[in-house]
This record gives sequence, structure tokens and C-alpha cells, in this order.
Amino acid sequence: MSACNVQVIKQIGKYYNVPVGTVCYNTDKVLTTVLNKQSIEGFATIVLKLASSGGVKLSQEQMLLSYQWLEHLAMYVNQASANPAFALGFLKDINKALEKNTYLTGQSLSVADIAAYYVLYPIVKRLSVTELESVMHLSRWTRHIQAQPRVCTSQPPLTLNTLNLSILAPAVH
Amino acid sequence: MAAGVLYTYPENFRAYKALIAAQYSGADVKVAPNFVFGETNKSAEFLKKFPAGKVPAYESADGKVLLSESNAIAYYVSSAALRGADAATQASVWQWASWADSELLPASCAWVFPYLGIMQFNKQNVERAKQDLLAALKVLDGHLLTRTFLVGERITLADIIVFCTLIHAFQHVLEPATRATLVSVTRWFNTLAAQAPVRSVLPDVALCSAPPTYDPKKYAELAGNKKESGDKKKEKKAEKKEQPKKAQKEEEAPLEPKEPAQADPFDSLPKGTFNMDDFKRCYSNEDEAKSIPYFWEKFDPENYSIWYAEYKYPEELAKVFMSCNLITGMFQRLDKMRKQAFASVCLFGGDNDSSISGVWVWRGQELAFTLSPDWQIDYESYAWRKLDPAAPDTKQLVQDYFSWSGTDKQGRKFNQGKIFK
Ligand SMILES: N[C@@H](CCC(=O)N[C@@H](CS)C(=O)NCC(=O)O)C(=O)O
Repeated sequence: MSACNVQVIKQIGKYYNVPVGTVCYNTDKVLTTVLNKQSIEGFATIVLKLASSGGVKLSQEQMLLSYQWLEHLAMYVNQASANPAFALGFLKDINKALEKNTYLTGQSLSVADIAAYYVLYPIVKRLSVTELESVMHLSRWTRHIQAQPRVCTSQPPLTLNTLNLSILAPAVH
Repeated sequence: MAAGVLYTYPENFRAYKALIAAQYSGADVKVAPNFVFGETNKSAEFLKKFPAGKVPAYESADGKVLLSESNAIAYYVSSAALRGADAATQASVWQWASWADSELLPASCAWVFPYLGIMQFNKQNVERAKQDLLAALKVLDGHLLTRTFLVGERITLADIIVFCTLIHAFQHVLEPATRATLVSVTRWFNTLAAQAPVRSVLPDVALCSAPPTYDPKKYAELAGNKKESGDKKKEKKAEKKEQPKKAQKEEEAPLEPKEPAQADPFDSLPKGTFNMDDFKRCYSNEDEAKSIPYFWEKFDPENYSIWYAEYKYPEELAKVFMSCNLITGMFQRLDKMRKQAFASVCLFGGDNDSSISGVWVWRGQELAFTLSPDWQIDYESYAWRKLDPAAPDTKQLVQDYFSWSGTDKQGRKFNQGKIFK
């Protein structure tokens, strides 16, 4: 499902309100775009570039942590899209990280959260209630990210009806 | 946007609520400089504005808004975003504020304070408090399992209030093993502690690193200090008494910019022949049988004056310790007047039946308090009468007040005296 990443780039561009150029795969099958006459290659690099043209300033540490997450997502998301069993394991890893951390890179919303939300959207959407129950922290995080301004402009927020969520927090929408 | 002054001692977790909220909202809230716990908040001027005499207390820049109770103050200085957009959200914020006060705070104090040595250690009580707090935190943990913040998907006043209420517990008793059972609360607490507006008030909250241990020496020490500092705080609960005392330690005092050196307002007046320092030295070192005659021998009626002052509202004086605070508070605010002034101010009578009056001496023939804007706070609470240095009853008044003897006009016995020197 490689088109997924092209679409994600467009969504991130929209979120940061910056042009994304013509996103496509080059001959080596690497995601590429051209911005300001400069060719930029690779999902993580493009996303970080969009954030910085959107005015986001990252510390060295935030930058590295974001890069790591973006690479991780780019590496496994295609397999996760194709294989539901693999997808659950993939989500559980992320869930683990969100148990002790409010956001992917720590204590504040970052470009990694925004990108991950768009990347994971179709995968989370497919989960059954029981599956969602097994990734409570990821559900908590998803609910939070999609409530942030400008995140849900091109698609509706996910309905995260886990048993726990629906008992403790009756859906607002 | 709100602008005003917050009265508090340093490192008061209740005051943090308003200070953090102000960081978020951009309200201009300054901590009152020179606040002395037990004095400033017991002064007549403070009690007129805040009858409970408690801190934190807030006064708006125009003096029109006077508030006590930390939650109300924090609400007042909050932005609409912190308060919540609609009635339901606001009510949820209020719910958590009340919950923090009733479910978290008493248990947290009863668990933490014995370990800090500011409350007697009673194993049973501490154990019960611990169970109570952990039970409340379990509820919070369940709530935060599915939510990033307490109310809605953003930080509100609810987060700020609950966070501030839990600071002591996270610093002193919630050790790593306990935190491991409260994963979501810990996640949330760390996120709040890391927010820039919180950090600008509280740069580092060091989480408890090992199970707390009880040190009986600490309590004995603090309890001992208490006695030395007099009986004035005896009637208060250990919690209220000791927390501020810790915070009053000098090294913990907030950094205040040093005031530029100011000219002594008395400098504009002729020096005359009376040397205030010499007299004070004599008064401190010698018996009154010697120092009072010395005073009359050296006194220069041309350039110095003697005044009788009587506190105007004796019916407001309830407890003896409050009256003493009133006097020492006034002395403190008049600090810069010390060089060219001397006074003996006495309290007559006991609890609920007392009066305050004193004899003052200073350079110049006018009421000295008009010389400096810093000196105007207290003097209007007193009736001032200039005394004729040649009159026999002036001699008697000086004798009585300088030697701490005699009675007030109603015949109440001398109770305590304070010397301004
Ligand atoms: N519920 C009040 C409590 C205020 C309070 O108890 N303040 C204490 C110091 S932490 C105080 O000023 N005590 C002085 C006294 O009781 O005389 C609040 O949250 O502001």
C-alpha cells in the first residue's frame, strides 16, 4: 500500500499549511519530492522538512527521536497494512511506548505524533473492540491527537469504542 | 487580563496553582516582596483585606479584587481555555478541584508530613493516610488510563490544581515501586511537570527515589525550634505551622532584586546634639535606672521629638500573639527609620482584652512617617500625640514605657513590650 505514504505526506503538508511538491517514488522506490528546486528523499526527511517549513523548531534530541519514529513507521507500515496479525504486534510496540509517555517523543506534541496519527489511521480503523482493548494507551493517544486543532481536516476522527473507553468516557461526538 | 499581587511564603504549593495558571494565561501576577509569614498575614492592614489571615491571598492591581483560597485565586487569574469552554467543562474542572482538596490533600499531608519531621510520626495514622491516598490515586489512574489530561483533550485548571496538590507526595513518598502501580498518573504528572509554563514556576520536581524513612531527630529539632520561637504559634496545627517555617529559611527565600541604596529621609533634618546610637547602646547595656536619666540628660528638644501612640482598634486585638505580630510587623516595615528613631511599644492586658501603645522618639518635630512612602502602612492605625518634653507626665510616660512597667489607661497590666531600635 505504498500510496498510503504519499497521502500521509499530503495530510502533513495540510496540517502544517505548507506545500509538499509533487510526491512520488523515484526509480529506487524511495519516496521523493521537490521543494524549492531541491530534491528531498525518504519519508522521514520529507516529514521533518515539512515541519520545519511550517515553523516547527526542534531541539537536537527531539529531532533525533522524531526521526527514529518516522523511520520506524516508514519501515513497517506497509507490512502492517497488508498483514493484520503483524499490524497488531506493530501497534503493541507503539502502545508500550505510550504507556509511560504522553506523546511519542516524550512530554509534548511533536511532528512524530502528527505523522504517526495519519500513518496509523487506516490500521487502527480496522481494529475490533477487543483488539483496541489490548492497546489502551495507543487508543488514549489517538483520541488525544485527533482532538488537536487542524488534525481532522481531511478525514473524520476515529470512533474508538473500546469497552473501557465507552464505560469511562461516553463518546462525545 | 488579571494583574495583581499574590501574598504567600516561598514554595507554597497552594500558591503554585495561581502562579502556574498565570503563566498559561499571561496574567501579570507578582509575589508580594518582603512577605513574612505570621507577620504580614497577621497585620491589621492584611486582616482588613483578608480577614482569615491565610495565604495565598490575592489583591488586584487596582485593589478592587481581593481573594483568598488558592483555587479561587487560580480560577481568577486563568484564561478561558484553562477554565473550560462550557458549563459542563467548567463543572468538571470544579469537580477535580474539590476532589483534590477533600480526597487528596488531607491524606497526602498526613502521609508526607511525618517524614518531613513536621508532624509527629504515628505508624497507624501514616499507614491509614497512605492507604487513603493510594486509593484515591487508583481512581485517578483509571481516569488517566483513557485520557491524556483530566478534562477534555487539553490542559485545564483541573490538571494544574491536582498536580500542585500532588507535588509533595511525588517528591517525598511515592517511591519508584509505588509509581510503577500508578503508571498513568505518573505519566500525566511527568508531562505536567515538563510543560514550559509549569517549569517557569517549578524548574525541577525531583521524584522520590527511595521509600521514605522516618527520622525522629528531625521532628525533635523542629519541635524544639518551635518552643524557642515562642508560644505564638502554639495554637495552630502542626501542618500550618511548620510548612511555612521551612519555607522561611533564608536560602530558600525568593530572589528579589536589591533595592537601590536610598538616601535616609532623616538626612534632610538637622542632626542636633542627641546621638541616637549612643542612647540605644546605653539603653541596651545599662539598667533603666541609668539609661532613662541618660536619655533626659542628652535629649535635644530643639531637633528631636517624643510621641505617644495608641493603637486605634483595641477591640480587634484577640490573641496576644497576634498583637505582638502586629507590633513586630510594623517595626519591620519601618526598618529604614531605625537609624534616627527609637520606640518602646507595649501590649497591656491579655487575650481578647488588651491595648497597644508606645512612646516614640525621632529626629525632627513632625510625624516622621510622612518622610518616606515606605513608612505609611501602619501609622494611621495609631493615634499620635506629640509630648511636651518639659511636662512632668511626659517624664512619667517615658519612665513607664522605657522600663516596661505601669498600666494602660484602663488599668490593664503590662503584658509584653517590644523595642524599636
Ligand atoms: N484552603 C486554603 C488554605 C490556606 C491555608 O491554610 N494557608 C495557610 C498556610 S499553608 C495559612 O495561611 N495559615 C495561616 C494561619 O492559619 O494563620 C487555600 O487553599 O488557600
